[in-house]
Amino acid sequence: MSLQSEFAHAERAALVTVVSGEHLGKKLLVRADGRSEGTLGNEEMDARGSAAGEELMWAEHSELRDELFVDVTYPPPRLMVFGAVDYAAALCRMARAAGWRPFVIDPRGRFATPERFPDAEEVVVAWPEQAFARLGGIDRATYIAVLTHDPKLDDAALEIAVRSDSPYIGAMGSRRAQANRRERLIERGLTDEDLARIAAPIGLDLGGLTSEETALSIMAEVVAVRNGRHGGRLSEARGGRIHEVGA
Amino acid sequence: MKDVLEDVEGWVERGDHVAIATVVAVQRSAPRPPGAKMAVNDRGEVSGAVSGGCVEGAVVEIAEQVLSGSEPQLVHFGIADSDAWDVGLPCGGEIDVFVERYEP
Repeated sequence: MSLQSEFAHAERAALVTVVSGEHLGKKLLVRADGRSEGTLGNEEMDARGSAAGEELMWAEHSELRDELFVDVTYPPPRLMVFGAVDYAAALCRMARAAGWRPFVIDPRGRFATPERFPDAEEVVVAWPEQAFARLGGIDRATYIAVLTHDPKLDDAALEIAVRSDSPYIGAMGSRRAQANRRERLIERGLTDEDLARIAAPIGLDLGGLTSEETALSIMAEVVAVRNGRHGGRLSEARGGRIHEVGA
Repeated sequence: MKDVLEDVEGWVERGDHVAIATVVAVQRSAPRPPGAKMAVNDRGEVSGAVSGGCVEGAVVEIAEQVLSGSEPQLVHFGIADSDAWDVGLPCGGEIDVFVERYEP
């Protein structure tokens, strides 16, 4: 199998190609585990290609770096939803519609059923630690929404989430619930820095009331975070790009 | 991108030779981002796109050269006054496209 063909079948990978100069057309494939195959012509180029490949397959955009074109492929991002609650069903629907892969996690088997969450890629009946392990861990493309409303479950999920590479950890709850949670998590040994990673209350300020509108506000926040945006109104934004070409 | 590569796999399975054109860089407003692909086989069939339809014709010609044995090519498309409709981008952007053979 050629490197091009392997790249076409890969879940997450970078294919680096020399597009000008002496080694025109040479390729290096960088896999998700950081190992690479092929050569761009010399060790210096391979080192450069390999570093760029590893960076950009996680940044999830293809880019020209001098004479090297770094092409990346990646799976749709995952949204891990803790809590088999009504909001979770709406959030799965919204995530699916936006092209994401939603998962629902809750140890309460009575609520966590595939029937209640037809849009979820998988419904995992387990405590957070086992669930994360079963789903292959939390990588840099795993977004987390904690919606259980049960302090024991919420805290267990958040404790693991803040020690992971996840770019987004949202937690539902009133401001009063947030204050209580904050105290509990500090007792469990979390630092202010850990707590600052938790987006709470979860979602953008859409003022929605229904499960669907709440789900939309969460999904909107998740998409904004993924794109490095704040999520305001474009009509009120002062200049700047509407979207990043190639992002 | 995956759907273009699915077509490519199908073509390769039946023994076609295939060239792939990939957008490697864009300046200003361009319709397709880096990584966007278009494939051309030696029967003249095309899958995917590298722009909104502005430069595809020119890319097919280069793909045919590559299929008949020429080196991979890096081609720049900007706004050309005289032939803006032929090989320019009406949206005002500029793109660089790399055209090479697909090795199965």
